[in-house]
Amino acid sequence: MIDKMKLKKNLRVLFGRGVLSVICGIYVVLFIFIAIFAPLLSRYTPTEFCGSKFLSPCAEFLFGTDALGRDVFSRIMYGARISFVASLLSSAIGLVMGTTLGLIAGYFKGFVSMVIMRFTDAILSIPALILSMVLALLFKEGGILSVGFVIGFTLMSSYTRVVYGLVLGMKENDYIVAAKLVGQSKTAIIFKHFLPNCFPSLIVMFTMTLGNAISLESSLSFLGVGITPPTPAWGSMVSEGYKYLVMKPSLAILPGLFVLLTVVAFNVVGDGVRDVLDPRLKGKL
Amino acid sequence: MVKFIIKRILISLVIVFMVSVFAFFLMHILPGDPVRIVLGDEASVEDVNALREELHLNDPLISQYFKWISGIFTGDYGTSITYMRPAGEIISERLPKTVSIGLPALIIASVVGIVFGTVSAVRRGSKLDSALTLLSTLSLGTPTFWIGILLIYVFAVELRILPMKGYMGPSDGLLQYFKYSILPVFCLSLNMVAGITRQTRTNMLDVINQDYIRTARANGISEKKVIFKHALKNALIPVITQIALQVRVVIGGSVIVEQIFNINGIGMLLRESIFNRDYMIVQTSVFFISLVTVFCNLVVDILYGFVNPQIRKSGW
Repeated sequence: MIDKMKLKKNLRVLFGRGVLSVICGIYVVLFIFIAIFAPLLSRYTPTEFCGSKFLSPCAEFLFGTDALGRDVFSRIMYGARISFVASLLSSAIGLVMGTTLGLIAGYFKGFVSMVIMRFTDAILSIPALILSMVLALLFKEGGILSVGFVIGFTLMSSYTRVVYGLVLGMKENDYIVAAKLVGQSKTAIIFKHFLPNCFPSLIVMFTMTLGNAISLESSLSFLGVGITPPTPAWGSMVSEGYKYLVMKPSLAILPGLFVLLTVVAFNVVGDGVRDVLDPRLKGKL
Repeated sequence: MVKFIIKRILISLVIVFMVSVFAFFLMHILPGDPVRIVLGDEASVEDVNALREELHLNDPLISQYFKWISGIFTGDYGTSITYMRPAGEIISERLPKTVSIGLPALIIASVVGIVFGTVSAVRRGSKLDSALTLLSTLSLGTPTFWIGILLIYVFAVELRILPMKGYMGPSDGLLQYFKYSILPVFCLSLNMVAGITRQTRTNMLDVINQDYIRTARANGISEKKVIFKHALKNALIPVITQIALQVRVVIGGSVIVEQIFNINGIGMLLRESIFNRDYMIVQTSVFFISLVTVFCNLVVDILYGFVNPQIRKSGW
């Protein structure tokens, strides 16, 4: 009797969580598909003036047209591509730079480690949005590369901190001591032992920062320091649409809704990846 | 212990020093001349140069840095290039507006977050837990700029029960203050709720599984008493530090919220100052925001040092 109830409860928990995870997983796959095949899916290019302004949704313009008469549906499809590439690029940049710094700080004691870790603390004490706004102004034009770098730099410090912690934890292990005794070089120890052992946590962190990066990119584009218009980024579409909120609310609401869905989906998938790969990190990341 | 505290203070000073250097040099390597931005393209080269000279912008960067950082200690935060007035004065004028939105947001987020987190931990695995977890996942993923605009559309454009944008402080009458600030406060608190809920839930789960809670239960103490008197008290220590660290999130969020609701606070000031390369305002604000964060971290470290002697051994 008790076992039956337990089983039921477990199933419910699994199912409750499962449904959401499955939906989010499907959404993420769909999102990536759209990002890759945006030109095939949309009838117009995102910057093409293709009809009257402020058209309501119809068969030809699924989401209507915007203030300049561009097809909102096409712009949202292409916007997915911008979000996806920007988040992938910035997470990768953050991962590489952060991991490098973390490995160096973890391996070398003393001054080098102190400088790197205090610098990391310093960066983390500045609000991410303000840091990335200032960094964005280093570049004349908000292209995908510069935005990727800006967000990557902002995300870097959390990678540094995690990798540093992992390396410190590994250092005392017997196999590291053995490797040193056998006379393996520093680079060999770093690349053959420390780095591979960081991989599970790094994969988890990478999937978890993807959503974060999308949200930062859209905020920057909203504030006018992200992707430069007319390139369609969801954030800048919201800020352009905001001007016509009373007249045509969907121009601002719709692209923002996609930011919400995408960020939530990536976060849920990231949580799932964490639970599978590295349950110890639960609640820490 | 004294040695540990001194070490932590020294570390914090190093971090603050690094923030000041980073903020200063990052602002100064940005392309664009602030004087040119203020005077406009028509201004003559002589005028630009005269103003640069007056603001000491032609001095070597190192001496500019030392002038600014020594000013911080004497309460002289330099001159804002955009306003041609002391930066400290402008910041303290704008600060109350941000506080009047940010503080209620922080308090609401804390209360809601702690309640949600505790309930979800106590009823772990229940439908309520799943619902609250879903809610916090949603609130974490909601873009602040989007929810702000959506709420303006619903409450100001469609229902017409709240003003679209603008600002009324508590001194303009409580009802007005409430009407103008309810939406910005809600938007600002949304992302914080998620963080605090998660933190509370994790800590509560940790504490609930510990031996002394089992002992308390075994002694026949009522469940209510176990949760509120024993578990929550211990679980809240890390949560409070999490709340203190949200000051950073409030400032970051207020850049967006003040933009949407047209509130003339620190967030808007920071945004326009970054665009105008108004060095003194950006450097000084960033310096003080970091100072708060670093100070909170210092207090946390020292508290943890008291509780756990192992931590006192950590390196630099």
